[in-house]
Amino acid sequence: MTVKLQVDSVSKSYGSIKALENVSFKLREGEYLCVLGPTGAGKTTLLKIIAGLLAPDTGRIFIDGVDVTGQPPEARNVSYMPQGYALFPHMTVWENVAYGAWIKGLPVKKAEEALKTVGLYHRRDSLPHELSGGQQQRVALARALAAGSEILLLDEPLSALDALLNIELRYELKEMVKNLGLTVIHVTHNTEVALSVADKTLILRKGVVEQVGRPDEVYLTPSSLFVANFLSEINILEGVLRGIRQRFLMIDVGALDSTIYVFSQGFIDSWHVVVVYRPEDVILSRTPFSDRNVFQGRVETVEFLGFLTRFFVKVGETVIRVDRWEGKEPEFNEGDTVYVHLPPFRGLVYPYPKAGLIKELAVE
Amino acid sequence: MPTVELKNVSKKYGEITALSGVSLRIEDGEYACIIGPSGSGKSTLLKLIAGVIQPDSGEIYIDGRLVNDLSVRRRNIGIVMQDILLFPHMNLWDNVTYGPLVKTASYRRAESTGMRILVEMGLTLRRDALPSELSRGMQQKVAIARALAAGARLLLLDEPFGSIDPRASKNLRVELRKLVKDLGLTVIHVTHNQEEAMSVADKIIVLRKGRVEQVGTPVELYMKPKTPFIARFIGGETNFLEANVTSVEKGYVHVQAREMEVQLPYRGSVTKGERVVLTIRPEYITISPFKPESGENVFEGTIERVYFLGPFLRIIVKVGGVRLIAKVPRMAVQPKVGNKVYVKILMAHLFNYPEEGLEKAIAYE
Repeated sequence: MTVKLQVDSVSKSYGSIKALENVSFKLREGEYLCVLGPTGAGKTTLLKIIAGLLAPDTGRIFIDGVDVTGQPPEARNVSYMPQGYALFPHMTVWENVAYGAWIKGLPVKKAEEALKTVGLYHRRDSLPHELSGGQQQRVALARALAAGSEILLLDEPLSALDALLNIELRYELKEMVKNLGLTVIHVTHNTEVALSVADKTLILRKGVVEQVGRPDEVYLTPSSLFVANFLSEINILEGVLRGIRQRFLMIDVGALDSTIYVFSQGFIDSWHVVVVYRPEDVILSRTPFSDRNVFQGRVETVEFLGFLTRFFVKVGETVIRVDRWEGKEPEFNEGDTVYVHLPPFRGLVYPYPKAGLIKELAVE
Repeated sequence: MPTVELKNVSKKYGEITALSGVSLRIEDGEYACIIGPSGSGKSTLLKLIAGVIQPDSGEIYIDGRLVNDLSVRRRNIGIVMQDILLFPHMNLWDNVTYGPLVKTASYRRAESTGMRILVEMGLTLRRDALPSELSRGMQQKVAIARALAAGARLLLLDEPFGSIDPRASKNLRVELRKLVKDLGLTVIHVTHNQEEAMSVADKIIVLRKGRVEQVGTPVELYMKPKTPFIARFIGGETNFLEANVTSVEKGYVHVQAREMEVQLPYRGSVTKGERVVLTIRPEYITISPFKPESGENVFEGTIERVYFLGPFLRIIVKVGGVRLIAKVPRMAVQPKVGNKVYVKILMAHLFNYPEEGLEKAIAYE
């Protein structure tokens, strides 16, 4: 597949604030990229630069191998759907979608196709307020599609929807753009969206790319503590690296008053470390079934969430979260004595952040 | 001690029926959540209990006492809303003790109440802070502290986490539940977030179009939905299939949904030949390259899509003309698109076909 879009060393400052710093990535034709990051990470700035609404201070944008950095938005073959899409309230669905083509004096055939794609052609004569939130969102999307561009830039397109509609529409959206063969950049702060529909996920933090990769890559092998914490609600144990035995790191964890063994994934350039366990990787049992990395604890809180049950287990001076995907009445109750297992092959170890834990873990 | 009971309560705004014939009971010390789509009457219900508006008909009892004619102030209720309303120029301590003082408690009593609440909520170290110096989550905690300091035993919460970022609100909800349980309060909490309700509630009341659709514990609503609407609204994505009953015998019902014949335990609500709705939760579908030993509800299928969601995979699998969504825990070897697999359905729910049509019955906007 050919490279459709290339962002090459792009930087942008607003006064003394660096919004983007040396951002580079490539997208192949038909790829779906999710850009994930906290508020203020530079996500929207990145979209605007690609759309041509903002000029980068340095760096270049290539579309189909052509340098478009100096070109205006309309010359770029890019559709941009800003956050908080606004439909014209006094115009019908059809007028909203066809408006762009109409003022440019282009045929409205694309508008018709776009409305059919989002399944709302039969509502073309309705006014926006007569539609539900999900339908309005689809109309806004049809408007972006109607321009016929091959690259679609979406800024939080699902954020106005409630949880269930968000889930349903995200997969619908993905199917739609796949079928149309579009290359998409979808900006979101919702981790689940970014993992589920993306072919590739890019994590931005303070204008810098922290990691780019397939969703399973970034989730399973986060490049930093920040990424690990941003992608899911993890357990974090502070410790001191005492030694290495047969590729297992021996780490003294004060909060557990014990030494735990974690399989070494790579070189750790620090004695002061943090050990990360995702809640779904921790195992709970009534009786211990191993003699290492096992701790007795007491179930403090049980959250039954349907498919998922989350247990908060007090172990020593800390609370460990454990997720079990069981979809039935919880097996353990509040007050139960349980054993918490931290499987050595599931732990992630990072150097203790220089800026301190609180700063490293801030997600908003 | 506060129990809350509604008997046949109705409320209209002009032509629009907000609530019609709502009866329910919330026990002393119970944490109840009211959920439902927008426009289902959640806020109206809460306002009626608070006494901000009056019902057109029906009775409202608090502590067994009819309160229809009792003003808000005399109902002894703590109210916390989505918009965090603290006095911006007062520090945390003054915000919390203001209520008791206005209610003409002595300074000493106001101080001891305020102190107790602050200790309970872990806010003592921030007592001199102004609201603007606190995070939104912390501000909402202060708002709750203030509501409690005035002596309320019944707490009404209207989307209390609506303006707090999702990560912080997940921690806050656990903390809030613990606190109200320790204090033995009765809570009625309105939310549009079904996960939040599942997490904190002893009892969930689901409203739909101004009526009570189902009342139950989180486990009951998830395991035994009474209507297709509940099956869709609770527990995340669900598969909906239209089917026909092919046989009813020996305690089992067989239904045919296109190429799939599914067998379910008989619950006595359907007859042979009847058109029905079958719902299958994605997590009650297993996918395996090998044929499972038990032969019921096993089908051959083809994997059409695999989505990675972190702890689990969302898989679209095609069985004949039926597209099913399955959710399976993350595996060492990921299934691939195009793979032939065996699909086993572990549990399904059966409903009579709704008169209004399936689409309308599960619509929630």
